[in-house]
Amino acid sequence: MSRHELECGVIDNRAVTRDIFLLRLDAHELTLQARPGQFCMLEVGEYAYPLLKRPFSIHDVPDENEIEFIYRVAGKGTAMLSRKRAGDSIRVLGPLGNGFGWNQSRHPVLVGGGLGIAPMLFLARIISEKGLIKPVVILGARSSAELVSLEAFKAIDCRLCLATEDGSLGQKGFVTTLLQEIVGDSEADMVFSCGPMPMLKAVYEIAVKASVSCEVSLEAQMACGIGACLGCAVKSADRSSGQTGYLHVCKEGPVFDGADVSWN
Amino acid sequence: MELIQQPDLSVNIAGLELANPVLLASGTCGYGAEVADLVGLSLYDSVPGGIVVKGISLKPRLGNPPPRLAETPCGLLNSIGLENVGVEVFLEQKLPWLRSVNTAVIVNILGNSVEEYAELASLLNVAGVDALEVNISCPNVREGGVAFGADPEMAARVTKAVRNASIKPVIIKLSPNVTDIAVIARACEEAGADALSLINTLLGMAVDIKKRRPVLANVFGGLSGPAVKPVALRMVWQASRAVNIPIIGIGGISSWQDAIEFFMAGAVAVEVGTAVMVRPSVVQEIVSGIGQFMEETGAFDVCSMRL
Repeated sequence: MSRHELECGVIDNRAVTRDIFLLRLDAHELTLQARPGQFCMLEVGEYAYPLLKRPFSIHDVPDENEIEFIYRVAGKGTAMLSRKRAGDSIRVLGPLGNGFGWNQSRHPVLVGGGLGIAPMLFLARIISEKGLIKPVVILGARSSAELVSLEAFKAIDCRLCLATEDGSLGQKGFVTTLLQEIVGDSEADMVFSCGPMPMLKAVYEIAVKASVSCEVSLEAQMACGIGACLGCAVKSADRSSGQTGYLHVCKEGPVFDGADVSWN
Repeated sequence: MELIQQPDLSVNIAGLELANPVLLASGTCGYGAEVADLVGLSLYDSVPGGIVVKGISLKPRLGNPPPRLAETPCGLLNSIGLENVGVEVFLEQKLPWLRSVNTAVIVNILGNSVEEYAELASLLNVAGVDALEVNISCPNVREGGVAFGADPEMAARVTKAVRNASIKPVIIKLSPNVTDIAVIARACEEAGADALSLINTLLGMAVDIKKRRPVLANVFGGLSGPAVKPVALRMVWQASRAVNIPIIGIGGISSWQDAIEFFMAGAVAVEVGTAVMVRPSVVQEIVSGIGQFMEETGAFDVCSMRL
């Protein structure tokens, strides 16, 4: 198996906006295995409170020793995580999940909204460096400040398109407007997306209309992260039997073919 | 030369032989393969003494709608709703792998009626199944589950039916959501149970105050984790003094010290669940810690630690 449970040293953990943090870990054992779209479970508490590890998608693997995550401080767990300093260590379980099927695409379009930007940096890097393809990368956020890691994206050979809700950078509006234009007049053959559910639904619908297949990375509350507890279920699309079943985000995902997800 | 007595971690529960008294609890380790590399299940020396697989029903079950999880202080609420592949798929696709692993395999079963429990038990009279754990205590499903576990007469009927249908050691898993655990424990013992395991989860709930609705789609869920450990210990103490059959302690065990508390309270083995999901390597720590404690205190075997 390629996954590990281990203590990783914190290289750096700093606020990049008021409440979004970039965490860099020394994790040589994980970097060689990690694929874009996979995630890691990070232990945030000391003992039992908070009890569960938190899942974070891998933001980047800039070299063979370092793995990066971005997260928003939203509760007790992420607040505790934000207090970790260089030299501290964090227990990590990973890499977990399936990852994006990027190597099936010759003209990939990446769409990240809000913190859904997180897996897109690693994905763009791998497509560019390993796939030798120049992907289209569409990123959106509320404001320019929340378009995190922009410099790192710019350093990758990709076509970068930006949207902000307040118009402070790139096009004013949503990633979906940009996606509409791009799938309309390019050779785009696959869309890879991560972001809030309403955004993913809109992205999927645009892709379907353009007859382009679409992979989405989903979020869910998780306990184990390895398919043992079945807690992270999301509804799957209706099957031929008419019965709706469940997909398990940690094991069968977090990346799903949009056609397999129930969007209602 | 002084002869040093090595502590004996092995346990025999009504014919169920365990290399050590630490089992993976049902519902937290899938069918084994999901966690194998992380907890040390292998062909040769497995770390856990046994694995209690996810509850199996006659027909596959889809489980409850999401959200199924809610984290609470030092605890976890779940309402998975016994999602499982059903006994047929279990026998065909899951058991062969489990057979290859060097650890005791205990199959947790769950039915909607006494007859279903008996049918499951007879279908599982096969090689590779070392014992049954009868779930009469799941709080997350409407029929079956805790409906059988809260009533001594029903608990006894299920126990008797499974005992008659099975050639394996039969462990009855008890619910803490009862008025008097001793009464249920005695009813199961009299009906032929070989052992008892307790506790299943405590019924609880959480409310999302922003969304103004319960966190769990199922409203109620089962509470596990360190938060329930004192309740579990108390009930193991009570049950172990009410019956003469072995007790397997379950509930919030997250360290070897926790396990020793359960042995002292009257358990002969423990199941570890939520803690394994949080930190799979804890299984190795618990097994090693128990051995070291026994050596340091001169405990000859697990049972001798009972207070």
